Amino acid sequence: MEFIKNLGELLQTRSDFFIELLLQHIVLSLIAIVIITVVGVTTGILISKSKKAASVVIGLTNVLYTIPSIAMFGFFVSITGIGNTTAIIALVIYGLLPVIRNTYVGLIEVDDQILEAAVGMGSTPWQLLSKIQFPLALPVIIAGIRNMVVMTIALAGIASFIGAGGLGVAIWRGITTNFDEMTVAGSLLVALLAFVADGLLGIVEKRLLRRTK
Amino acid sequence: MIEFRDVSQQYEAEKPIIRNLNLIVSQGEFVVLIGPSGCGKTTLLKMMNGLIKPDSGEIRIKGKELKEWDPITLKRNIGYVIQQVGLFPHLSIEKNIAYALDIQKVSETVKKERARELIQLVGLEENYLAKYPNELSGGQKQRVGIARALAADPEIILMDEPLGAVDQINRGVLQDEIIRIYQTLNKTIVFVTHDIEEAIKLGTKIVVMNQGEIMEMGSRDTIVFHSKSHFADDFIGNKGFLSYLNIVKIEQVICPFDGINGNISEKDMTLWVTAAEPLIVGIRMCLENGVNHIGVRDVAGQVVGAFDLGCLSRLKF
Repeated sequence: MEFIKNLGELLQTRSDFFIELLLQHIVLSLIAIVIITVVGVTTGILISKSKKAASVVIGLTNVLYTIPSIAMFGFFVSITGIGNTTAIIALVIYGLLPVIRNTYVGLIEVDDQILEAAVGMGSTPWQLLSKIQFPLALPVIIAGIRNMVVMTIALAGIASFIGAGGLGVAIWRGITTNFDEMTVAGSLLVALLAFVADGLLGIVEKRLLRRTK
Repeated sequence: MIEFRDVSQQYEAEKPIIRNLNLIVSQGEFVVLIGPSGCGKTTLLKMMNGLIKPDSGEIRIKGKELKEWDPITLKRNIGYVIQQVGLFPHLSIEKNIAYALDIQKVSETVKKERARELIQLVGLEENYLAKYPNELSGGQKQRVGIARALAADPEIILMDEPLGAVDQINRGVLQDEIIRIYQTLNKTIVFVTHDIEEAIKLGTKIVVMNQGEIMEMGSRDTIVFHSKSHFADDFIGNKGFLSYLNIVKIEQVICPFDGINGNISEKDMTLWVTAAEPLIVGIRMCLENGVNHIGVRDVAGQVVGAFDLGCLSRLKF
């Protein structure tokens, strides 16, 4: 009880500090999320044309995905130094897998009969993709993006270990100074942010997909 | 309209799916391709719109060689209906029907107008335009599939077992609809089926295939009664004959009263049949009642002649 009271007081008295960290966290995650979405969806579309390329790319991203995040951050520090750039690179590498895989799976799972009808009616490859395949794959792609967004927001908390901003700063400070309220406050805000982002995407998803079910 | 000259196509090197095939489909014909599974009928159909390319031989569509056609333009000039319908689940019925126009960048108003026209042509209410494919029954979906193939007003329509997944009752209704559309719009249709009755009923020309070759082709009379191919005879067999009796109408075999053996007039007729009934009804009535002939009236009730078993046997089909 005492702990919760302290926690509340901390959040109140240091609200400027937390708001700044929260904003940094949002910006950091958002940059990574945009890059991941663009690169991931594009890659997913490209590899859907070739089974060979798909197995290579998905295999590679799978391997990258299994590297522990701390190790990944550490590895990139030695190349790009400490700071936000390194954090974003690492976040992008982590986030790619679910987006590439879901885009790829969503596209190739479209019913052959539907594709045959569309091709047989004279769709160009671009029309086939934009009017048929992509809209039909959208539910799976969005599921992948939702997955990635939550993951990226959570993972961005670790980014402050390599000097990036964000709520990880509060967590880090809490741990190193044995200040539990600070650690919990940072963690709670990360969780809250992920929760809100997921909820928002859920609403977008519902709107977009009202008809395809 | 469509011309195949010595066309061969093989998926695997040793197993020809189409062997040295020659076929001419003329303007306004309703050609039915029939044969057992794997006989190459679907392959043949898909060669007509360039979905499958021949290994050798020449294919001409509307007088132009297949190689000279831009593959996309060719497909846009030919309507295509497939068995599983393949409606686009994310598009409304209206957008589904207008898809062929949409990809050719036709204006919204024309697309809307055309969709409204076609939904009526295939016998559905206008309010179906706003629905989505998952709200329709199998038969309704196939009607939309046909409307969609007609959207760009192609001269040639290819149908790959369009009624294969439709139940027996609806199939008959849809066959009648297809015949009506064919007769109203004066299109050239190539239709693949494995149902003998469907082939006899729909085709103005029936092509019997086996192992990538044409075994026999001709009108339903030829296919049922005068086939020179042993395979086609076996394949069509009595089932084809029965379908024939079910489809050919009594009005096509009416005998004048004085053409019947013996002295018979209108007054001697105790049993009557309508001219629009199929042959099988007349034959059955004769057998059931132990008579050789029955009188025939048209739909308006006018006496038009007699149906006579002896007379029937003298007709040349």
